[in-house]
Amino acid sequence: QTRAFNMVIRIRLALHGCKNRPFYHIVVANRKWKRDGKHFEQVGSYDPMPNERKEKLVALKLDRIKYWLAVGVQPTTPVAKLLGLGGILPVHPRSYLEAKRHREAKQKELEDTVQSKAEPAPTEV
Amino acid sequence: MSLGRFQSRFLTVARRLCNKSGNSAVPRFLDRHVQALLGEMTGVDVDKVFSPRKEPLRVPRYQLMSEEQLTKAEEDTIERAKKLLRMPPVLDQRKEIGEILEDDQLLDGHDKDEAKLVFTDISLDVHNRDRKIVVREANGVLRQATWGERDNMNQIYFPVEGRKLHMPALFLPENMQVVFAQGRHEYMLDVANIQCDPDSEDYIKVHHETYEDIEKRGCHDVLYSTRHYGGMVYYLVKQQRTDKLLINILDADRMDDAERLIRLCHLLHPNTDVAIKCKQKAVSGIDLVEMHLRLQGPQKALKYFEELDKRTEGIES
Repeated sequence: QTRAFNMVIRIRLALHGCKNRPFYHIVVANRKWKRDGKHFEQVGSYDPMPNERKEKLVALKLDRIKYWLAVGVQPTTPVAKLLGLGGILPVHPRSYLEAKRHREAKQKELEDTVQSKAEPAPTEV
Repeated sequence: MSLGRFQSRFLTVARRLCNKSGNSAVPRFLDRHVQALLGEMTGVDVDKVFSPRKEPLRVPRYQLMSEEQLTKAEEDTIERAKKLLRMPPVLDQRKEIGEILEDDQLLDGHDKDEAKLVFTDISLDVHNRDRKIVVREANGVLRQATWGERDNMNQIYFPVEGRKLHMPALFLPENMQVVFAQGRHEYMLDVANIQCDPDSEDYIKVHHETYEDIEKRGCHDVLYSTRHYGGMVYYLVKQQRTDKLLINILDADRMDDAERLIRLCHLLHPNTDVAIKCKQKAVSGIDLVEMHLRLQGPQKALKYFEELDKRTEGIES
């Protein structure tokens, strides 16, 4: 069971795009190959920058991803998170953790703004 | 603009969607009798179908032909024209999809940018209609994508030539009026056909607006010998508003088309008085038209028959 996590072939993100404009290809590749280099096949894409409709687009070749997962290829954490959020794999525990942290950070921010408004304004000299 | 590919796409969509139940007593658009009547009414005006358009420059070809070759070429042209005149399907508006697959409140806030994640299955052996497209909202809900989102994703990953990602400004009411005033109803419908699927809200809305404008102006000839004529006639016959159309057809001296129109009315509304009486008398041809007009049709149209009688009397005397 533990051997699976050291599997040589991965489904991972290959970074393409331009400066300040990331764009990922979801790719099946050997761990040892370069991140953006040789791969067996591309099975999708992920655009981390929201478009004008506030959507982040993820394209997945489901038939091929299912094949590779069935053969025993491991997705890396970012890919596993995406597949979890998309409903193909169970939701990754990291997603739950990040969600919780974001909620808490947002709550704290709200409390800070409320507190700073409640404080009396500094008196002028 | 490869019209043939769009037409086959529409027909695939139509065949898949029209297998649904309806009132089986009354035939619908894709019924073969209805299609036959509409097809014959559309007419084939080769000069209109192959009217000059903007095309890439080509060196003109000249051919020396014998009489037989010329006749064959003309027949082939008519066949090609008929292919271009195949009607896009008339469908009911598609129902909105709203199925929620999972509501995971623990995932609320999973995205720092508070954006949704749209997952599209880009497997190649799947039809655009069947493609699985799901959306994970920022609050953790996983749901099926709406039709608008589906159209967008399909266009991004499997683009159709000529289709835009955003709705063309042409479809705004004020812009539509400008185009109608210029008499470019066919152009408006061509754009709608490329841009939207035949059962989408925008397609139906644009088509209905165009038909209403044509009915208002009484310029049904604008769509004669185009692939949109059948749709327009079907729309008007369904609502039993065929008076202006009938007069337009009689004006153009197309008696056979007038008979086909009446036949279509009786086919789609078989329980009306007119339809029952005409069936009882078993009339056909010009007599059918005359009987329909005397029983129901616009009285003004009867003047064409008086003229026809005068002409025949003139010939006989």
